[in-house]
Amino acid sequence: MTTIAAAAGRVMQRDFDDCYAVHFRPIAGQLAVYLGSVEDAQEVAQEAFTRAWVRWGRISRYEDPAAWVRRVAWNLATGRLRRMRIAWRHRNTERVETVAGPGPDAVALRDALARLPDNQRRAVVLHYLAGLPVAEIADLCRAREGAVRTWLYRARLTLARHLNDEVTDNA
Amino acid sequence: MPDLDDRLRAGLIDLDRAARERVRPADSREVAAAGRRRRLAFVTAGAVLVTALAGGLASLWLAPAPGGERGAAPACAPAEATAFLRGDVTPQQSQLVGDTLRDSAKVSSVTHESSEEAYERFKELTRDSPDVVNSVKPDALPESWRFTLACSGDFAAVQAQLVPLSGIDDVVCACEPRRSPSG
Repeated sequence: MTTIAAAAGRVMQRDFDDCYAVHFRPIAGQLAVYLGSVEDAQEVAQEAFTRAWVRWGRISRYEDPAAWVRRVAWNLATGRLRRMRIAWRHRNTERVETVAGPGPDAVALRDALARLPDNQRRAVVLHYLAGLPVAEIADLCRAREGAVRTWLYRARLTLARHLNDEVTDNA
Repeated sequence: MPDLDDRLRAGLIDLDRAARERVRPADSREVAAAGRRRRLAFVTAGAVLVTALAGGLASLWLAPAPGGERGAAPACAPAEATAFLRGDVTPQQSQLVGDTLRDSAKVSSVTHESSEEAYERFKELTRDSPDVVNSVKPDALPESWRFTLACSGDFAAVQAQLVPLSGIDDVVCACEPRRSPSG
């Protein structure tokens, strides 16, 4: 009996290790773009995986266990933004999180993203980076599809204006 | 605005790639260990809650009626206690714990509870929180012997008798602050 339990535990741990290895970085990366902080994104992603492990017996039987982790991670990130006012830090151009490497377009985009309301920024990251369709974003954000389309529409207007201004300024 | 869409995607991928390079994931075993600690804390809290509720109910049932023996010394009130067994306890070890309790003059009643029965009771207590129930597996709640002390003041003596027995994980009483068998 003990042997069966130990074997089952090893299989469960291996499944979890695989999921963690494949999905941790993509989830943390998307959250970092949303939160404007790699450290916060990493903490949130780790918390989501810890919660997943506690329920792994059930979650591992889902068709896409990573979707559960992603949903929890995004909910945690949104809650964290609300509580800690990371948005304020996001607007601070002297942030230490700035990463050397992104091209000028990406830097301009990062600054433009920081000016978006949270729900618009979340929709932009999920749609353009994670590649989720509007319906899935609506489900994940517990919003109507119409609301998500509005967020994306307004975000695009703001981003277009800001990015064009950047190009004009640079010229 | 197809051009804008392309610029957005390219810029976001650029930011994402830069962020991923800075991400330093902890070892997945550490995450699993944190999850295990959290689940253990939750299960222990659930077991204590079950014991405390049982003890509280027993105290209500066994308390003297209002206006009864007013002024009687409270030092000898009955109390509900539980001896939790380890996950690897053998039937013989469990039986010895039960026999020890039955042989004790300080114990007025003894009941065995399997982990399946404990799980059913746990489900009943947390039926309004399905996520909580789902996070605990039937075998996570320990087998136990639940007993009633005629006098709550005798708990320490009975506990001292049980703790050295093989297969004992913890002995708790709603009448006392929680303490571990080793300390």
